[in-house]
Amino acid sequence: MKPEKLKELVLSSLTEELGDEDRNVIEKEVLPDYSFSPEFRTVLMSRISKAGRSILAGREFIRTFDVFFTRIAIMGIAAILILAISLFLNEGSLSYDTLLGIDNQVDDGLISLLVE
Amino acid sequence: MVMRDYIHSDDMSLVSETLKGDNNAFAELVRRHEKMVATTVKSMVGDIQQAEDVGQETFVRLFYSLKNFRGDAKISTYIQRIAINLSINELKKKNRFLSLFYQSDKENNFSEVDVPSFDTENSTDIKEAVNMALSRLDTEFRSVVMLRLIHGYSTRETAEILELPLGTVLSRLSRAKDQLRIILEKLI
Repeated sequence: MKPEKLKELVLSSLTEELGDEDRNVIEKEVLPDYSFSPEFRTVLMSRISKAGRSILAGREFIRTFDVFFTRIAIMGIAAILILAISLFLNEGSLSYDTLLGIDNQVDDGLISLLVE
Repeated sequence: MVMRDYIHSDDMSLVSETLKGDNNAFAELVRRHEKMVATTVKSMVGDIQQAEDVGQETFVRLFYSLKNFRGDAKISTYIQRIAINLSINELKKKNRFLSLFYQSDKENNFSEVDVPSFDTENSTDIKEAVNMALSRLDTEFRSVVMLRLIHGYSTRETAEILELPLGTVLSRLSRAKDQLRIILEKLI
């Protein structure tokens, strides 16, 4: 195809939908054939493997952290429950005052204590 | 460990196998889309070595962001988007660097001094000329021209890849056409 016609085809391809025949002409006569170097994929996959290993190490850390956190949380809940049960058995209730350890204090006694 | 053959798997299966930790699935994904990325980044950045670096970065970014890929669009669209964004960043970096040494003159981005002689009867020279013309386009035009002319995407697909309104793409294509006409007049 003549260069002038080819140029017009290139320009019209931007704003018009080309038919298969014109598209083939562009692909054959105009478009450059690009590819990466032969070692592109090897270099890339070695980078990816390293990245994959660090991601796996990160995931392993988070998993271990999760296990520890769960254990600590369970132990904490168990400690709170034991404390609450022992309080209930000793004091007979689980009121706010009982939790603060002031359920046996009488308000008047406290005032006189402060006055003195 | 037995290596699985992924040649017949579709792209979505490759994505899910990669997310399960199988790098061979990702290698197949790279093999399938390597040529498309090479064409995109080489057309955008021009320089072969830079294109190679941007290509590497494109696939590394893809690898890291696969967990965010929801599958709403085709994986090729997703990869194109990454490649174009990275190419634009690279061009901006290059332009910023060059602007430190050269005065920017938008009106004169294709001076007579730059015009090499092309044998327009030779198809290799025509390809070279088109490639050179592309590299002379403004960055904002280069991506739309590359997607339309080189990859043959429709205007709607181009808008989807660039995440731009269709009207913006049409307007850019029209202005890019004018600019490309001026450049090609001098080359062909």
